[in-house]
Amino acid sequence: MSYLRQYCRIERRHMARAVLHGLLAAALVVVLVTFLLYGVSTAVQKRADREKITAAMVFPDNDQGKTLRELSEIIQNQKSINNFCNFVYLPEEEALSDLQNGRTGEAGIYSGEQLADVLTLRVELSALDDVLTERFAMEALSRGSRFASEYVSAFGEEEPEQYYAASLLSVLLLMMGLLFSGLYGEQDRTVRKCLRRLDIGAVKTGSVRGLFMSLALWITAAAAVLVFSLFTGIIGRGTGALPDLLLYRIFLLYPLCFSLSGFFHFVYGLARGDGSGAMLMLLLDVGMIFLAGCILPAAFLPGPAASAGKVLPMRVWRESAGEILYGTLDGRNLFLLILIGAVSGAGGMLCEAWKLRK
Amino acid sequence: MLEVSHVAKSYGRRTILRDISFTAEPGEQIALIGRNGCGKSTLLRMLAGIDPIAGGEVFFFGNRAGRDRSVFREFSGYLPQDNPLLGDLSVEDNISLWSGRSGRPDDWLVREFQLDGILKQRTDRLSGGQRRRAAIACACAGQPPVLFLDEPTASLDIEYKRDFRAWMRSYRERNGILVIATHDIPEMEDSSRILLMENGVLEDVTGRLSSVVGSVSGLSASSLSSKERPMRERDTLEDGIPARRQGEKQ
Repeated sequence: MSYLRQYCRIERRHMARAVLHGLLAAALVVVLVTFLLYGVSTAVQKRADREKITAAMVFPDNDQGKTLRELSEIIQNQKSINNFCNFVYLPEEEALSDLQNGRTGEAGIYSGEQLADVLTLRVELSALDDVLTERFAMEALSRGSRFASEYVSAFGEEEPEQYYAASLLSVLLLMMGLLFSGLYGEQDRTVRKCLRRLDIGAVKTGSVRGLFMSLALWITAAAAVLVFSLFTGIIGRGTGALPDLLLYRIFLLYPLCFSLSGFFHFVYGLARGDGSGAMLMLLLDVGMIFLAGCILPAAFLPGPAASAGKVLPMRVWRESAGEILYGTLDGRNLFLLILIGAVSGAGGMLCEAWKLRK
Repeated sequence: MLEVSHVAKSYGRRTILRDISFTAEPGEQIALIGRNGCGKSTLLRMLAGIDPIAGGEVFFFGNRAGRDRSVFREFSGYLPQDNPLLGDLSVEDNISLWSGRSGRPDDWLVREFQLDGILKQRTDRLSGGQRRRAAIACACAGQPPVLFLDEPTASLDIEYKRDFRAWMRSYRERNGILVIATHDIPEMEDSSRILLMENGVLEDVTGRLSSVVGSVSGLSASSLSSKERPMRERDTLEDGIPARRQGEKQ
């Protein structure tokens, strides 16, 4: 047991050195990625602001629906609406499909029921247009408010800034994987072979390493959440304010970090240990960042890319980061996080054992 | 005493070792020689407990070494060809990993391998000779009575090789057993027995070194015989490597 204890102590120190050694490079990567994501986020939002949104309008197929359609056509002709929005009248299924294929933009599918609410107000006929315009523009199409549950958006249920904050956090943690490449060099392999004499094989080394990697990621994630909250207001109620349930959110970051550490161990287990591990990790990171919608949401990606992104673990990590920061971690995503971490970590141990057999 | 009995090893259909058997008494140095890739390192790894013993048995002073690696740890130390050192950690940290104990290494270890000035230094900043000294110190940290050394002086300069041969001599004088894989003629000449590995089997070529390696060293067979050192038996412990009586396991 003393050998295992010594190994844990040495591995912890080894990892701290490897992380510190690569910290400057990692900081530069983080700054670059932050600027990239901020720039893309701004560009996407400005593009959405300048171009007319195509909003799919869905109304019931009855007399009331016909009346609502006539009213919405009046609203469409209002200058204040016409400047930034075009209405298209579609059946619900076609409207959903158009939204997912990017033919309709950020705006949503508008159910006619909210207009019915407006019609219950007592307004003079001459003022009806203005009332509907104001109500429609301020409440239904407001950029700053969340859509009601019947709306579907290319950013899901998140606001764009929330979407990109979750992307930034998940990208930051993913890129940290590059820092651990120093732990998987050829010299390290010689040591791990000899460790078998001390009954410390691939399972124990993988478990200890995975534990310390996940802890390093967790500390980084917690620090990032605090910095983002206090200095940028990206997370939380505003600059200088911490988000609600901070400790709960930080606690929930650990399953995300566990999942990532298992993935890192698997990737480095696949590589030869001659520096190719870092290259493989970088290629996978860049590919996943784009395909999983961290830069551009999936609705704006080409079909094959969007389809590929759906099955990547980065999709789960980004969604989970968003849920942890702004909502509640979904049970399904929690299960997937643990599953990805456990399965990929076990895969990494198998790869290590295979490589050390000679 | 070290007893190796009918040890064998195959990788798939390729047989590396067939029916390897030999013994070694305290104070002996056994040189394993042979072409590159003939299986010397494979044999040493098995005897050190790194690779499982596929066939046969190994006994350290009457204690059978098997799946339970504690016997390997208790009675042997191992120095592979590549130094098993973590480059970004200090010599002291590396020794604590292989000894299982924290803190400064024992004084005898520091003195024996002249580690005083380099204990706190990162091993990737040491010279080749210093790294090798640190690596052998890691192998000896548990005071094992048997040492398996794989080309211990490869890539060292002549001065270091001479110092290292002197150290091996002192180890033998303290009743340690050395089994070394080597291509170095002086190391072969220092050995009490020379075993040639060829086609997976061992042949005792002690006294026939010159006919086996040719006239590389320019020495005749008779002059080689005269350089063999008599074994010296000691009953008492001296500081450094203790003598272990047969059957004793701590």
